[in-house]
Amino acid sequence: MVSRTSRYISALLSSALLLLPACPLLASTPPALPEEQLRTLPEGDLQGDSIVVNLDSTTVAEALGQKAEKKVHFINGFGVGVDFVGLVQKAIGADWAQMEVLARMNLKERFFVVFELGLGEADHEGRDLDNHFHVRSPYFRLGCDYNIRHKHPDGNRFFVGLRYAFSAYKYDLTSPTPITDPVWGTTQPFDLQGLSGNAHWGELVLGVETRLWSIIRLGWDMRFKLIITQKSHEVGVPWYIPGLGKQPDGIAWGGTFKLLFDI
Amino acid sequence: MSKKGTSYRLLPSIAGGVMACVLGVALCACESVSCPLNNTVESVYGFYAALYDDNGQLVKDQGISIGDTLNVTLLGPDSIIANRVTNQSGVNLPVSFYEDTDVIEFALTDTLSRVGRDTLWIHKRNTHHWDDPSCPVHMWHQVLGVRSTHHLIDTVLVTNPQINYDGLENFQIYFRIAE
Repeated sequence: MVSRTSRYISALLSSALLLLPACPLLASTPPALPEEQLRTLPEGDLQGDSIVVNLDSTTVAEALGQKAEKKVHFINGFGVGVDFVGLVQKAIGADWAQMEVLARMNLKERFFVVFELGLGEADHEGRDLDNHFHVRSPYFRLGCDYNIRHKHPDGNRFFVGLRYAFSAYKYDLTSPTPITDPVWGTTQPFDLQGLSGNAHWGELVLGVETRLWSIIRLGWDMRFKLIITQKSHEVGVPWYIPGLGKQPDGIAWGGTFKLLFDI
Repeated sequence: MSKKGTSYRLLPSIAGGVMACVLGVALCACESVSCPLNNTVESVYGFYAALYDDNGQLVKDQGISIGDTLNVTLLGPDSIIANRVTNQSGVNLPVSFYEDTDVIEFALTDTLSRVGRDTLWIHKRNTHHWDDPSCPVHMWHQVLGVRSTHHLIDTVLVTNPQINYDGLENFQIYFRIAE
């Protein structure tokens, strides 16, 4: 228990270190102009001409040191995105990878209802043995993120969130080496295909997001995943569960790096 | 937003994203394998004395140590799977991987070279089991039923129908006790 707790604390500290580059994103708004600058007006040949200066409410408010209040609607927009971590895993030929897309609804810039849909796959051969594990199945997550920086609508967001996730999968366990009975001497191949299972799990999400330009955003997060229920074939639990990852002791860590579009 | 502001946000975003990808790859690369150290699948037999109370009920768990010489043979391949076992309170025997029924002969030889034999039929269901792709695959068995002859054996009880590498007792053999 002690070693498991310290492992969690180490993971949380690692997550905090990951978020350090995001600190500049969390800078406060610049101070208002001093009042002396506001009273100086250019002199010219007015001669009855009028100077029309168009100042929007944002500029006037900032000049007066007041925060401009932009109207935030209850449904403040929608967004779609794609995760890059799984694509990188796939590109480098990792033993497992999960590629996912997401859609979300922005509620008052404070809550983000998120739906994530992905495809997880694994192709793993045992170390020093030729046992082979294969799975390729979809998964989905549904949850909500809370934007801690909702009072600072400067394009940067800092999220904490929760997810419920589910995956139903079929996995294969095979080996080119048949299994021999040492007493009887009989041999049978080891080739188990289409073993079914499913898993329900929850995720705790901690992430940041910034607006690059216009509707384009970048974001990344760290996730702590905990299995709620799992059903596996009697042969044994799968080496990898789509969407969850490798799960010794029923817990897993993960993360995403997303390109998002606010529409 | 100014160009400087754009690059100001872009660089830490990319840096964080690269670290996230590196972390993702590291999570893939990290692998710890814990194969069970005790991975021999055997059926575990315990020896007991067949004693009955006044109500005619078998008194359980009266363990004994058999002084005679025990030889156990797996009929079919006629392989001796336990040879000259003496002064033991039980024996561990291998189980066939793919047969639905194991036929086992227990032969007890006393000091006068008299031999008593009994035959057990173990009906079972066989399944593969694995813990990890890096660990050997095992055969586990579920006992569906057992019967025996009764020359020396009074009763055979199934205490744990799961035959795996946990080392728990699966069968209790109650031997007749001379009065």
